[in-house]
Amino acid sequence: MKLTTKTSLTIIVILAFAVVVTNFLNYYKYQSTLRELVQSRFVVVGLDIKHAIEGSVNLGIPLSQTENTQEILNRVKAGDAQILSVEVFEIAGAKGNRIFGTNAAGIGQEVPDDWVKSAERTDSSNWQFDEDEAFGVGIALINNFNKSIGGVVLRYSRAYQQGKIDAMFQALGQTVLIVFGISCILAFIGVYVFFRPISTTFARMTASLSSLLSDETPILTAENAETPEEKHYAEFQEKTRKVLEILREAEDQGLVADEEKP
Amino acid sequence: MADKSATFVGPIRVRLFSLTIILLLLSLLAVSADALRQFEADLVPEMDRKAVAVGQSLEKQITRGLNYGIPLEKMRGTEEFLDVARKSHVEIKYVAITDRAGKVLFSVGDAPTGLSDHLSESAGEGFPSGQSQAIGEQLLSALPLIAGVETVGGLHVGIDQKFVQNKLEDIIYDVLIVLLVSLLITFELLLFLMTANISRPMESVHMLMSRVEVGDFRQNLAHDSRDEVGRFITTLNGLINEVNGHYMQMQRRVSEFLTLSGPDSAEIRKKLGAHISQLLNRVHFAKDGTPEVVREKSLVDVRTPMFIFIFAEELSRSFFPLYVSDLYVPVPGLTQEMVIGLPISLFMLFVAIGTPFAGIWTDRYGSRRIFLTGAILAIAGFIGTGLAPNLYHLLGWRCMTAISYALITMACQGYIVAMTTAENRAQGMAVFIGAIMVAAICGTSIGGVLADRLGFRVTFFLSAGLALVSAIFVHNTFARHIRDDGDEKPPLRFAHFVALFSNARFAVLMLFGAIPAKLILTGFLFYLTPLYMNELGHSQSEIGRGMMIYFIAMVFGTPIFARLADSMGLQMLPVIAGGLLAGGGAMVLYLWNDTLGVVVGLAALGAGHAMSTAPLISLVPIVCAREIQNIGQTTVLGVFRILERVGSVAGPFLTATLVGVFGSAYAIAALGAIVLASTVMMALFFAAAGVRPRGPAKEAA
Repeated sequence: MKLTTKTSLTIIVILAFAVVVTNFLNYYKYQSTLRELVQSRFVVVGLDIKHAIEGSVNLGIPLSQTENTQEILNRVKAGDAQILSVEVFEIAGAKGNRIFGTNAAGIGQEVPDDWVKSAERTDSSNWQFDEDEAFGVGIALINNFNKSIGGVVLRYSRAYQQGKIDAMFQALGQTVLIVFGISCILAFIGVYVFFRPISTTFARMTASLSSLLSDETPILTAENAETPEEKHYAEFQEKTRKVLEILREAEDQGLVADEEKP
Repeated sequence: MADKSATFVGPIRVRLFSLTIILLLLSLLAVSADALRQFEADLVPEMDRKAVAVGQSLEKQITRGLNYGIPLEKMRGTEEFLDVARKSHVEIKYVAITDRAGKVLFSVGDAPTGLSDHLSESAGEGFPSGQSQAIGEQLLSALPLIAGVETVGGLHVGIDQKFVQNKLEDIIYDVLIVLLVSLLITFELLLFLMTANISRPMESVHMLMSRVEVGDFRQNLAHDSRDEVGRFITTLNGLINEVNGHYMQMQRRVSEFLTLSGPDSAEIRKKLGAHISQLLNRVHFAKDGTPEVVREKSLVDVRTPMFIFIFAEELSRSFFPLYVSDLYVPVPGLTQEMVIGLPISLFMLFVAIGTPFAGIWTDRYGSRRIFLTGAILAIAGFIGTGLAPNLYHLLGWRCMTAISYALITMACQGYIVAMTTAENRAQGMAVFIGAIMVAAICGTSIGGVLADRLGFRVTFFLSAGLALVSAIFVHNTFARHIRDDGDEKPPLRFAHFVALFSNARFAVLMLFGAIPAKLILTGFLFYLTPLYMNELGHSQSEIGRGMMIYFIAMVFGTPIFARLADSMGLQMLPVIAGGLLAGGGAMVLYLWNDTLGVVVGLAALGAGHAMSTAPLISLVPIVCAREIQNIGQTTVLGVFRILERVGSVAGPFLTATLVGVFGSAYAIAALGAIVLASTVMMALFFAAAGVRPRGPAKEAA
């Protein structure tokens, strides 16, 4: 492999490392920002539902008997294609039961214990969870006595976000390829220019050495040597040439002696 | 010779480094600028949707008031209500309610420039919803407020247009870390590349040509590259072989001639003899026509793999105690803090135990084999650590990694010792320490960034990959049979420890100087900094950056302080000043138990160690002049190295105990107090007793 190729490849590997890591940092930042934004939007939607339900509860109506809750949930789901389901659960002892929901089949069923625990936590009014097909946010329902009585849980499409994230990954990837490609070309050109004196010098010295070996007139001499390396080489070549001459002369004489043998 | 190659290599290295910096900066700038453009295009509509959602939520509650018959302008507490909404969403900068003419009735936050024109325009159009407009530095969304069927006003929500840019600015430090690490790696790799491919072969070529110039044709150069330099070396070797071939042929013919020729050829014999003796006076040929093959070695051979291995080891530095706390299981007799410190202490213990054996094995089997064995253990250790299901597995894998660390460091030191003489050994060791420090900067900082995104376990797998790369380097570059041909090193015996500890100066230097220095290093930096910064709410990247301060202070401070100490002929003063600075710096946490305190403490610790580490070692031969005469300097320094690791082992345990009593910040301050008190005691002792042993020093002199 040529010197320029080796050096260019080293620089390219470093560039690749820097560009790829930076790109991943950007990508992860996009992912987290998008997720934060979408999630906070659905928290706002969930808080709206919470305020509507708590308004009724605070008037003394039991949670399970709040009349318009199911209607609100249906309206919210219909208003946003990304919303997969909205449900309201009521805490009874250590368990929670779905009492309203956009998915009729789930009503009356128990909710995961984590939801109940999260709804009863006092340090935060909402929680998040991940499922295979959906992301979700939950918001605690609090009564007049500041006690958790249940929660609103809103599931929204994972595919929507994943689609955007994948598209961004491709877009960023394309930019990286273009930038990286241009940088590689520049690296090759730069390295080629910087290495030209070395490459030329060694090419000339190698050619001259080859001509010396094949008993031809060397192309590099003390007169046309340009760089310090070539000058040093020319000195070396001159001395080597003399030694070779002596050896060849001695060989020739040996040959003459051979021929003169009786 | 070196000067001749420097005419080529020096400027090229500078140019290549500059080219790489420019390309890195331009590439990262282009990638980041494009990311910002794409993020804005993609995230602004999301922000807009959220602004509308917030607006709709506010609008519902205001409409409820309007439906109760409360006029818009008389709604009480509206600004407080709007402010709660604004403060709940960082990207929302401004919320306002206007009357139907667009006059602001209530507003919170910073109004964008050019707002009033926009509001009158929006009022004229009946506050059309679903269309946000860029006004000044904000994107403004409007919603009509309707009482019954009549529009009585408008609600306006302004989002910060620079929100996306600010989000990207969050990672600017991470990108800068990537840039810094890339530049340091560039420096290391270019150094290796230029040395291995140009400097070293050119020096060899110059050496060979100079030998040939004085008539020495007995050597060839070993090389395995096919580049321009490699081709030249091949041709050069060919020439030397040709000359030797001619000589061999001539010798054969002459010998045949002499055997066959009769007495009448005396004239020719004489002529030939004159020719040959004239030639042999000036020229030396290879004995049997085959020149000896010589291979030049370089310290860079050891620097690059060592750099890569330490880089791998340091990747987990910024999060290791946090990883341990994830795998925590109660251990009888130990507090939770002690259990978290246990793997670090055990690692240090196994390094201490393994080092003397590794030294012996390096002498016996050679650096290459020991490095490769160490690398295999390291790869297994890193993978095992990354996969460890609980603390006990983790302890086992860390012990294996510690042994690999001992093997690799001793293999590298052995290589340097074999390649250097007593005169240039210190320079060789500086190369070694330089690689360790630069790798520590890179590993600690980028390790935090990677752990933040990829998780702890994946980062350990990356370490395993890097250890493999270091092994490949060594496999290709380390000479197979290089050994230290110097003096036979006597094995360490218990009697050596007793002999040294009976020297009060050595004992004080050890107990109050070297051990406390290691104690605070492992206790404060390795163990408590990740835990405490995590407690303060910092991300892994930030912890990595924080810890990097120590290594930066060491890298830049060590040569400066070493030169200063040498020029002033001082050894004890820097040791004491360094101890006071390190201890005093950590004590800052007593006053500032926050991030600033940690940063100041780490910077002071780094500067203190930069000041004291090298002079502390150079004090050992002075205070142990008599022992060196008896057991040799290598043994004395070997004992010193092993004993100072007592501090490394004890550091995490002692710190864990202090954390249990005082809490994290005060535990760091307490460590500082211990180091400070030890330094003062050491200073008082040496002020009274003197640095040089009185009686034996004269004998030694």
